[in-house]
Amino acid sequence: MGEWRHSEVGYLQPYRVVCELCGQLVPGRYWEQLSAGEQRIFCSPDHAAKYESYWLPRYGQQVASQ
Amino acid sequence: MTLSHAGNKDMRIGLDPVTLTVLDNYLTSTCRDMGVTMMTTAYSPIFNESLDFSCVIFDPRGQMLAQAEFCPSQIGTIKFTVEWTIAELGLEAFEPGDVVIHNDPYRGSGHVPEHMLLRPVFWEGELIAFVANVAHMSEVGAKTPGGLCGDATEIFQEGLLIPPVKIKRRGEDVADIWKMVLTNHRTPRVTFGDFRAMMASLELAERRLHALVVEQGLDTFKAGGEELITIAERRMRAEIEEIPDGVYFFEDAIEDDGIGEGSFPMKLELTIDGSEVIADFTGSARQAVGPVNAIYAVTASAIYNAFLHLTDSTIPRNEGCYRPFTIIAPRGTIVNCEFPAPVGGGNTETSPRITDMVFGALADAIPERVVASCGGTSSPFLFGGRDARTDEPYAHFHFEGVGWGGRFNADGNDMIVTINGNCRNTPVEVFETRYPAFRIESYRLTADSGGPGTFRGGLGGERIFTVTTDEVTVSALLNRMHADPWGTLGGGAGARGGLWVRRGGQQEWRTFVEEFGTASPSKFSGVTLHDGDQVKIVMPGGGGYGDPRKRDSGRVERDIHEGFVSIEAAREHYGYETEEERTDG
Repeated sequence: MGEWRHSEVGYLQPYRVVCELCGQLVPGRYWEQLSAGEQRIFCSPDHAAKYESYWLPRYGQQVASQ
Repeated sequence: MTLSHAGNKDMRIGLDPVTLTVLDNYLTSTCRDMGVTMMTTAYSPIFNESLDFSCVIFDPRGQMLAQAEFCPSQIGTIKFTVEWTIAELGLEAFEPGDVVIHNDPYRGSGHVPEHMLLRPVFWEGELIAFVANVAHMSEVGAKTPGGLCGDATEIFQEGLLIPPVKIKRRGEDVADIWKMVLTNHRTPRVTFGDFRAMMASLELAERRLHALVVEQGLDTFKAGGEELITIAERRMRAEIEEIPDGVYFFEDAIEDDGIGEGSFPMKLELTIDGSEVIADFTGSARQAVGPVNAIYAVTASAIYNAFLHLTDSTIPRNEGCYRPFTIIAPRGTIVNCEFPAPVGGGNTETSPRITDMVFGALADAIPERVVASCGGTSSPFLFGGRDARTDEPYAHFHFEGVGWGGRFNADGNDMIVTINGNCRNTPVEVFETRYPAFRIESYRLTADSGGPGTFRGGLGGERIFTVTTDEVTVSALLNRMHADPWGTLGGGAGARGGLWVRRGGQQEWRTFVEEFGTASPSKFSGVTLHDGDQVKIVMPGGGGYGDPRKRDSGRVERDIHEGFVSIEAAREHYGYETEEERTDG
């Protein structure tokens, strides 16, 4: 399960929150979810689901071994 | 009558098809009229002639409701620009009469020259829509006139960055913003006029939406917008379902970044799974030092562009079209660079390459829909200086057409601006009148530049300019100088492009590397040319489609007659024989 959270945009620190699946910037509201043992940021619950169904089976092993 | 609504049962609101069609056409024609307003009232030829802009309507949640058929690369990026602007500022920040300006690529703009203006539309105190346009400004305060500096190494060299800020507040100009922007542009009068044209376009759209609400009612507008999005999604998914499920691959490369040698591979793994598409660029090259990097919105836009070409053109062009797509572009790569990498050519050069990669990946799966590679460069050639007639500064972003790829039932288009642009080039007469720094000596199609095929690639071309002023500063950011525009399904490659200079009094054409020591022959900035110097731009042709030996002989003969294909090339690629040879044989 995850939840929506909100990031503030400051003068000195423009937002650099990025979706862990697709790589796009996520200004304002983002979706945070526990996945593969870590809290991860996504642009939507759909991308959190695809991270588990598509990304992890393909690339998760490579990341784990690095 | 109530339509069925696959995928969203909550959206059964019961609008009849006629009302929905009228609403969709009304919104789309409003976007078209926004563009006409900009074309007819702006100061610069890049608006008047080239139409390098787009116009869009969004709902208050930042969902695209309608767009017109302007620049595909902008129509995709503006989805992100608007969505992220609303997210950053918050809905509560908008008031009637506001106009927000924004061009920061790291907040969704395609590249620095493209400025978005966004206006909220209120009705009886309620925010009911946003209207927006995005346009390529001909001057942006970069290190050289016109921006798109081919040797930029960070985005700060590419022009003034403007985060989302209000340039009009409650209908009044915000003088501080105007002053800051105009102070940083070399051609403030032109910038002023072009921004005013964009604002007039937004005001027109607001009036049209108010008129719609008066005529149809606010509930119809709101519910109809949601309904049209649902319909577009359903129809796009149905189109995708017609593509065989599978995982498809294609790889291409950007040939150099203007700074160093070596190419930048892009790898696309395209998964079609029912009505879903995943475009995965994992494994693509790290971001370049030079300005060929695409930001995420540009990469996503290029994918959307490809599928809009591949699917039914009557699907309403709104948010629903984009929902079936997941685009994975790893951070720090050439398809999703990190701040502060330069991005000028990402939107002009990398974008069309990505769109073509989708066609390449799906060639075997849907051969009747794809095309071969187009010339794949916007051929950005930028220049600026001071007009001796008026002593006023000028700057211009000149681009060229290229050959488009052959397709299953037709040859490629000749010399049309590349697939991400849908723009027009500037007529010679307008060019010479507005920019007397150059005289156009010749402008023509290049024989044999289209890749051979059952349906050959479109022809590229050639233009020669002569400098007619004491001094002009030029920059360039072209591709397809080293890498062929590929053919597909047995078709051959189109001809590469080129860029040369001939100094006054010289006989030989030389590259800019040879003459000026630039790092790249086609990506550089700030070269000074003088009276009598000449520049030759050669635009690439398109790739061919299918086995050339299967080309209809009548088409081959017509090409020879028209001068599109030489007899020598016809013999080599198409097995052509003259009537005499056939008789003798």
